[in-house]
Order: sequence, then structure tokens, then C-alpha cells
Amino acid sequence: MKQELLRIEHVSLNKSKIDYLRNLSMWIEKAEILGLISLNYHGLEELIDLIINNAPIQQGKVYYDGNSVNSYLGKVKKENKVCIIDRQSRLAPDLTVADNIFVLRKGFKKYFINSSILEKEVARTLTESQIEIEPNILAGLLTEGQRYQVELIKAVSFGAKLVIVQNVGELLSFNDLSKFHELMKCFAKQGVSFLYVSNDYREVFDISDRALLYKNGQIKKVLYKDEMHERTVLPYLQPIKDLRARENMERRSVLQVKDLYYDAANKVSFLIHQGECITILDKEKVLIHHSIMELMTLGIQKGNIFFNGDKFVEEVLLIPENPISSTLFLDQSYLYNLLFLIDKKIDRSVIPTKVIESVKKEWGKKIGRVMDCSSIRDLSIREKYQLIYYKAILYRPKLVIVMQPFAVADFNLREEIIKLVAELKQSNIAVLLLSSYAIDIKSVSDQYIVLGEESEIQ
Amino acid sequence: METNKKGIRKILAIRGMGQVLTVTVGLIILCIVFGVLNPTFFSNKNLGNLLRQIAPILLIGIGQSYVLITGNIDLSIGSVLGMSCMISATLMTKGISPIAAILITFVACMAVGFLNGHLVSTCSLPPFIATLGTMTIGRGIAQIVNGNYNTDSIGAAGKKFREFFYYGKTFGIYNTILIAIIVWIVFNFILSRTRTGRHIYAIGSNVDAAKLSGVSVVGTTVKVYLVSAFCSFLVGIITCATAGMGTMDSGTSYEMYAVAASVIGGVSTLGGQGILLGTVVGAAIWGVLQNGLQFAGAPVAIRNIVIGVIVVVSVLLDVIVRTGSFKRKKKA
Repeated sequence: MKQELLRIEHVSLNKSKIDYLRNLSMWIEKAEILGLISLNYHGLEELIDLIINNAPIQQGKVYYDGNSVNSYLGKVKKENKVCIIDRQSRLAPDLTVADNIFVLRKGFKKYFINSSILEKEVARTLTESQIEIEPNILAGLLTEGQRYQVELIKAVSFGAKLVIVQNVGELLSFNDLSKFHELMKCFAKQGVSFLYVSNDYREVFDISDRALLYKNGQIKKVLYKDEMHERTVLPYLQPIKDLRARENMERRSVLQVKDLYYDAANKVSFLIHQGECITILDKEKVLIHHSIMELMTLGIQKGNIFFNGDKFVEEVLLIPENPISSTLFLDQSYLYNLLFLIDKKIDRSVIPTKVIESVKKEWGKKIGRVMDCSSIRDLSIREKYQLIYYKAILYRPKLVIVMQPFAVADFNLREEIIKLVAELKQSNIAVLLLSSYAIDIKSVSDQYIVLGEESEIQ
Repeated sequence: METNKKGIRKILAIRGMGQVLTVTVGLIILCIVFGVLNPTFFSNKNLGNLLRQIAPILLIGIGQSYVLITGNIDLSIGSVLGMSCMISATLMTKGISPIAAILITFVACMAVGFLNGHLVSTCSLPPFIATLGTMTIGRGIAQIVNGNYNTDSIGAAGKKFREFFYYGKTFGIYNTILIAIIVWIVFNFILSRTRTGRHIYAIGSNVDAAKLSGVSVVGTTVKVYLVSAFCSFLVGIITCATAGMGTMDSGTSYEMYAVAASVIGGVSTLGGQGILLGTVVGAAIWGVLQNGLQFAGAPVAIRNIVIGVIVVVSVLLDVIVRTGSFKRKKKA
């Protein structure tokens, strides 16, 4: 009979009059991989904080490893032996893998460290786990896939009985993800439990023994192995409208790629027109990891790229993965952000007041009062994404390249991004999406190319 | 009435204006307190002197503000000022015409700014360390230029030079003050209205986003250090005109005054925030405190302590406001 490791009973959690968790109940068994499909992110951060740090709750009780650790009366234990693995690296980049696994953890009490013994110990652990990583390599030099593996080993060495794995599929290639899943299964057999959080239900179904559908601080449904099908999830998802461009419209070609070879990407050919969207489905993240810009300008091994008959350098706007942190100036005003590229477009050092006023007039109705805010830091994620795409529309490049458009996006945000991509297309801008997910791209792409041994157009 | 409200809202919507208004209230209170303690504080003569005291601080404050907004710092301001003072004075005492002396000094100071900019941006040295190095180099140059001695008086040849930069008046206003006003207008326009200004804020706000948006981080960083060096050069020339000679220790601690003027005026040490109107108020607070405490008979040590405390509190408030904003609730 399986034993419970964590039980959350009718927990409600609110902060600043906002309900984050509402009468939430769930349990995790020992040696179980429990999937959590997050239909949105509301309260998810608080749930993880509750599991790790026993955050204060207003209702309910929490049990961990057979003991009551938290209740509405107050927390009994400060924190649980739970580790989390997510986007943020918890490894010190300038220390070796061995140091990271054994020295940099709570409870390590040795003062004098014998490096050779330590490295042997780590090498043994890595070999047992069938991982080919040198123990004396610096953590900063690890690939993303290796980083996740080392973090998992570190968590298990620390003695964590529960490991929370959050959105790993967004960063890992298909191969790295498979390896990571194998490692998880190996540790699960040894008794470690996992809470596998992702917004991609297919990814969750692949690895989980049981799965939860989570939305707005509540568990909407518990799915057992025999219920893990797309049709059980679909009723909980909002149908996304098909926003593909209408066919038979005359449009000028913007970018043509002919017989492109690049690492694993073999013989890629496509032609993209104004107002058209093409998705490159890059499961191994060949193009995504090597930045499309670098590829287009330097790294071509064989093949030809024509950009509107000229070289591929100008009139291209890149929306990178994680665009909020890499394209927005959070402490500046909405208008500053919106107009940031305009000076380049009009080629004037001083943006004429006439232009500013006309943008205000044209976009004011669409954007609303948010347009007047002096700092965009407190805007919602949806508003920030809107700003990123509106800026692109205002700049009117010939081509917008969007890297991993759905990374870190919950279902609601995905819907918004799809709408925004459709707006780009309506403005006659060509859009090239680079995604490692097949999910949702059909709603917006006119065609998509699956990269692989023999790249195919669909 | 509605138009007035709209106008006020428009002013308050200007980036960093709220902070400037708050500090301005502080400045007004300080003036009232010192005026009550000693009525001669508001005399015409004292106000003229006060403005002449504020002008150099405003100038170096402008330079430091430019650098701080990009998220960097310039510790070499005082040394470049010393260099400027000593090189120009030495050249004039050797019989070189003031214009030629000013030009040579200008080139020397801009070279330091250029070096600072490249050390920070091209070589990726931490700005604190890079400018600490050039601070020592600059001071060394100031000492070596006249064989480790202060210069003699710049004499009759420098009379017009002193007249222009210190004694002279235009439209009844001391030239020193006018120079500060003109420099402020020019650099305020560049910062608030031009592409370069937007790039300066962009680098301080989010350097990765700036790079992705096609901003030349190296070019812009070099530009801000050049502005800083230019302002130090100008104050060095004014100092030379004021003293009528070159002194090796001129400009000592001025980097601290520059930071004080900027930070008190609301320029963020974390980069991306601040306006030059704030630097005016910051420099004015510094000047009023120096002047008022002097009138009140406070020793130099007390004046330094008071200014130091105000700087620390200003930075602390900025950090609290900026980092506190991260903790605000995230909208779903």
C-alpha cells in the first residue's frame, strides 16, 4: 500500500484581500510522480511556497511525511525538505559540479574539504545515475539539460523527499527532456516523489502517474493514468479561434529560404509573404539555441536566404524568448516603451511632438488609460505582452521573428499571444515563429515546418 | 479649473517629477529655516554668492547624473577637475594664450572621459574600479603637470579669462551662473528630447533590452562619460579662474558632491531614473546647506556629516522605493 508524503486539506490562502488558493485539497504519495497541469498561473506561486515554506493559510491543514506542518492556527514547521527545479538556476556558476552537489547544501558541516575524495564521491553518484558529466567541470559551463540533471542530483543528495519540477519542457530540447524524465523515473523508483508542474498537458501525461488540473487556486479534476487523454482536458480549455490569414490574397514575398542546412536542420526551404505566419517547429531547439539572427547572418552552412530580394539584415524585428525582461524598460513610461523604436524608423533624433500626438490619438482608444502610466512595472503580464506586440506593429518591420512565443505563458496568455500575432499579420507584417511546442501553433500559422533529419512542411 | 488640473497632471506625469517636487519642498523649508535663523541669508549679496557656489556643483552634478542614469558611476570627476585646473593654469603661466590653454585642457579631459567610457563598456570593467583607477591617474597628472607644485598666479594674461569665467556679469548675472544655466539647458534637452537621451535611459533601465533594440551600449556609455568629463573640465576652468592659479588638490571630494547633487535630486543609483531638474534642486540643497550652516556657525565637520547623512538617506529611500516595487502584488 502506498504511503502519503504530502496532504493538503481544504486550504485557503489569501493575501492583500486576493484569494490565491480556494479550498484546495491534494495529496502526493511516496515515490509518485504527480503532474500538475496549470491552466493559469494564479495562485501557483503561493501553492509552491505553501509546500516548501509552509506559508500562512487562513483555512485547512497541511501534513508532510506523516506530521502536521501547517494549519490555519499557525505553522508548526518552518520549512519542509522539498526542493524546486525551475528556470532559475540554483547552482553557483563559478564552482564545480562536485562543490555544487555536496558542499553547497544545507547540512554540509565539514570545514576542510578534500577535493579528490569529493570528486570521486560525485563521480560515483553521477555514474550510478548514468550521467556523463565531469565532477570537476564548472557549473557555469553546463548545458541547460545538464544543469537540470545536476540540480536534481543535488536535490536528492540533500535528502529531499519531494522535488517540484516546474516548466522544464520550456527550456529543454526533446532529447534533454527525455533524459531528464528518465532520471526522474530512476529517482522515483528509489522513493523520491515529484510534483511535475507544466502548462503542456501532453508533457505532463508522458511522465506522470497521476495528474491534477489546476486553475485559479483550485484543483478542477484529478486524472488517473487511464484518463490521461486530450479529450478529458479539452472541456477545461477555452477554444482558440482559428486566426490564420485568409488565402488567395495577393501579397509580396518577404523572406525566402532555400535548402538551408544548419546542424540538425536539414534542407529547410520556405517562402514567407506579407501578412503571413510560418512556424518552425524546432523540437531539438537547433535554431532557438543558435539565435536565428546569428544563423541568418553568419552561421549558414549551405543554402540561400533572400530577404525581399536583398540581404537579410534590415527591417527585421526580433521578439525573443522571455520578451518582458529582454525588450521592455519596466521603470519607464508606457509611451516611452511604445515609441522606443520610432526614432529609428523616422530617422530623427528628436521625435516630433506631432508624431507623439498622432500615436497617442491613434492608439489611445485601443490601449486605454494604461497608455498614460509613468512606469510599466505594475502592468499585468497580458498588458506587457500587448505593449511588446503593439510596439512591433507601430514600428512596422517587414518581418517579425518570435522566439518561443508560448514559453512561460499560461493558457489565457497563449490566447492573447495568438490574437497579437494575428494583429501583426493584419498589419501586413510577416511573422516567423520559432517554437519547440506544437501546441496552439496551428491556430495562427499558415504553415509550419518540422525541423529534423528531413525537415517537412505542413 | 479643468485646464489647470490637466496641466498639473501633465507635469506630474513627467518621469521623476514627483521626486523632484518632494525635494523642492525640502529645499524651500531649508531656505525658510536658514532665513529665520539669519535674515542676511536672503540678502542680495548672499544670494549671488549662493548661486555662484551652486553653479559648479550643478555642472558636475549634470555629468554625474548622465553617468548614474546609465547605471554606472564616475569617481574621476574630482581628479579630472583638478587636471583641468592645473593644466590650464600651468599653460597660462608658461605664456600660452588662454584659448589655446583651454583647448589643450579640453582635449586632455575628454581623453579621460573617453578612456572611462571604453574601460566600462568595451572592457566591461566595473565602473567603480575603472573610474577609481582613472581618478588616481587624473590626480597624478594634476600633480605632475607643474612638477608637484601649485602654479603661480596666471597673471595679467589671464585677466580676461578670469573676467569671463568668474568676475564678469552678463545681463546682471554672474557668468559662472549663466554658463551653468546654458549647459543645463543643452544637456537637459539632449537627455529629455533626443535619441541619445532615450538610449541613456534605456541602458540604465534594461541593458539587454537596449542591446536588442539596436542601441549601441558602448557608444552611449562613452558619450555619458564624455559629458561627465566635459562638465568636470568646465568646473576646473571656473576653479582656475576663481583662484587665479592652479592648485593640485582642487576638485578633491567633488565626486562625492556630484553624487550628492544627483541622488538628492532623485537620480537613481540603480540607473534608468532621474531628470536634470532634480539635479538642479539637489545642487541647490547642497549649496543652501553649506551656505546656511556656515551662517549658523556650524564647523566644516558638521556640514560634511549633515550632507553625508542626507546622501545616505536619499539613496536608501531610492533603493527602498525601487526594490519595494518588486514586491508589489503581481496582477494575474
